[in-house]
Amino acid sequence: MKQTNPSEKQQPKLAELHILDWVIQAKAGDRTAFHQLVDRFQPEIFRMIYYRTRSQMDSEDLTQDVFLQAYKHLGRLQSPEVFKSWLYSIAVNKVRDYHRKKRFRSLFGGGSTDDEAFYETEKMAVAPEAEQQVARKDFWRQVGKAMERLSVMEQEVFTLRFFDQLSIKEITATLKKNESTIKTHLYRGMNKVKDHFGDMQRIMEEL
Amino acid sequence: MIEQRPDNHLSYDELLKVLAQTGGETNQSRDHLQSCISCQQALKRVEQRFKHMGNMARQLSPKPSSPFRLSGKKDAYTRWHRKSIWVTGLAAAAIMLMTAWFTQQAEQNSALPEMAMHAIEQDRQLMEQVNALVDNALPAKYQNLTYFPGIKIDEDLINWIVPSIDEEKDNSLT
Repeated sequence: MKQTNPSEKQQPKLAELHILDWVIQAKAGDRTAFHQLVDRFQPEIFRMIYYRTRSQMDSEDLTQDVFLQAYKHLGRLQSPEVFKSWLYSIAVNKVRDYHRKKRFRSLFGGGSTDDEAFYETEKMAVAPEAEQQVARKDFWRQVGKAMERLSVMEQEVFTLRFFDQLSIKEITATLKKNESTIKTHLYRGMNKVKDHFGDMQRIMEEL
Repeated sequence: MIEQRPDNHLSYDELLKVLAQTGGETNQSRDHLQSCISCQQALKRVEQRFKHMGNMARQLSPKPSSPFRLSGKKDAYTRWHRKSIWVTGLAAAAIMLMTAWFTQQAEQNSALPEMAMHAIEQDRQLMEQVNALVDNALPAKYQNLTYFPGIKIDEDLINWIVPSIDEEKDNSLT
């Protein structure tokens, strides 16, 4: 087993202490402390939303909504230690609402949910070199394919574990489910995704 | 399903179970994993594959364009909130004043019928007095002169003592 450097172990603990302080201060109405929390968590919340919406513009809007809601309801957060999971649960709910609204709009012909629309948005938002663009497109297509076989809950748990890199405890707190249920969903998700490793490996090498 | 390999190394399925911490692996496998470097490496490789997928997703995702800030909006919201409290308070005070004024007006209006009732009562009493005078216009001090309290006097006796004018006329004729 790999020996870990004591300073490496200490670093996350210090960061966690900072977060705890910021949460307590933000709860007391300190906006600067809240902005520190934003700076710490915005990139990962944005990514988390992006993985699920695949639209940069929508991710920007939803991320703002998440932090605005977090600020408004920070007083309701009982234990500052679970701030990260609490923030993720807000984001998960926002994404669910987003998909529900999108499906509702598509029912009445008000919007498009097909892949083409997504890739157009992607092109506009990122616009890198052509080859990388294609590889990028392939990667997300493969991720989409791998996820297709997973149930909604398996997708959620798998993405939170490996894409958002949350611990099982954090996932349990985020989704407010039993820990053993989370583990079972994770195992099933991993089992289904592993079949796509071959294609994904090839794309990852290209990138 | 647990597929135990003949060499006692953990199967892929068992490695996934260990990664997911389901506790579905057997005690034998757990003990084996603790002592077998090959299985530990295999476990790391599998974990790495999944993590690598996540890392790639992270690399291929855009970054938020600007950091979220509360400034401005919150102040505006607070100002608006305070203003709305003032407006609500003033509106409530105005409504209360209006209600008080209307109540006072209503009380004044309800006093009018009372006055009218008093006037009607006075009229009724006056009419009673007039009717009493119509029945007997003789002032009270004279009324007692022809009145014998406690004695019932026959009308014919009175007529015999004090004959009426008509009777006197009749007698003179005869």
